[in-house]
Amino acid sequence: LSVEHAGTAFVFLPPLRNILVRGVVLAGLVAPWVWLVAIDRLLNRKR
Amino acid sequence: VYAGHAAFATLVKGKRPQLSLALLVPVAYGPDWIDMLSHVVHDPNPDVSHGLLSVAFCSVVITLCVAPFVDSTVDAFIVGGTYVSHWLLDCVTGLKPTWPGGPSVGMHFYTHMYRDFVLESVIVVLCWLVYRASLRAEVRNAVATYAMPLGLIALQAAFTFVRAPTLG
Repeated sequence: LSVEHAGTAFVFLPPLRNILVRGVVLAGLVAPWVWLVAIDRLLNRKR
Repeated sequence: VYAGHAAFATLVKGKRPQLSLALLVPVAYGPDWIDMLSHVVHDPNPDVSHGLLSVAFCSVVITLCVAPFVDSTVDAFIVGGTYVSHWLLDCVTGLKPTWPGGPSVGMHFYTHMYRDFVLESVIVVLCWLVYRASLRAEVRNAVATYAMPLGLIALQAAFTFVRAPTLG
């Protein structure tokens, strides 16, 4: 790996880390939503 | 607060069964959704998502938007109030902004992660008890009923674990 390639990787790492963090935050917002709605629908479905 | 917001949505659902959890849960996390989306379009600014002015404005907008689709005006106000609950609950565990240039307020429990975990778990169970009481008798003791708070507590544990390395 040349110095130029290492420099390129260094430039792209912060955006990748940011995308990963946003992905985790998005999962954290969607997970309780899906969990609660699925169980509520299951419990309140018509017999 | 993390799981506590979802738990508050179940409490509201328990008291107002005609309101949908599919609406209440994202509304309870409203400021966090704005915070996440604001990272996409500009530099993060907590005043935009969690400031009192933003919370007041967005809760009014949500109340007006849902009013035509819910059974009564009271239900619309309750949905708007669910949005406001986010700021109030966050003050328990975090430090939240008030207005631009104003002080941040809160108990900052995030620095005590185990106490935060226990507190949120208690909130989850208490809110779930209210929700459970609203269910039909034949499903009150179903496995799925008990899975609801256990899943939220598991999510809270994961949240605490993810945050742990960043805490001093």
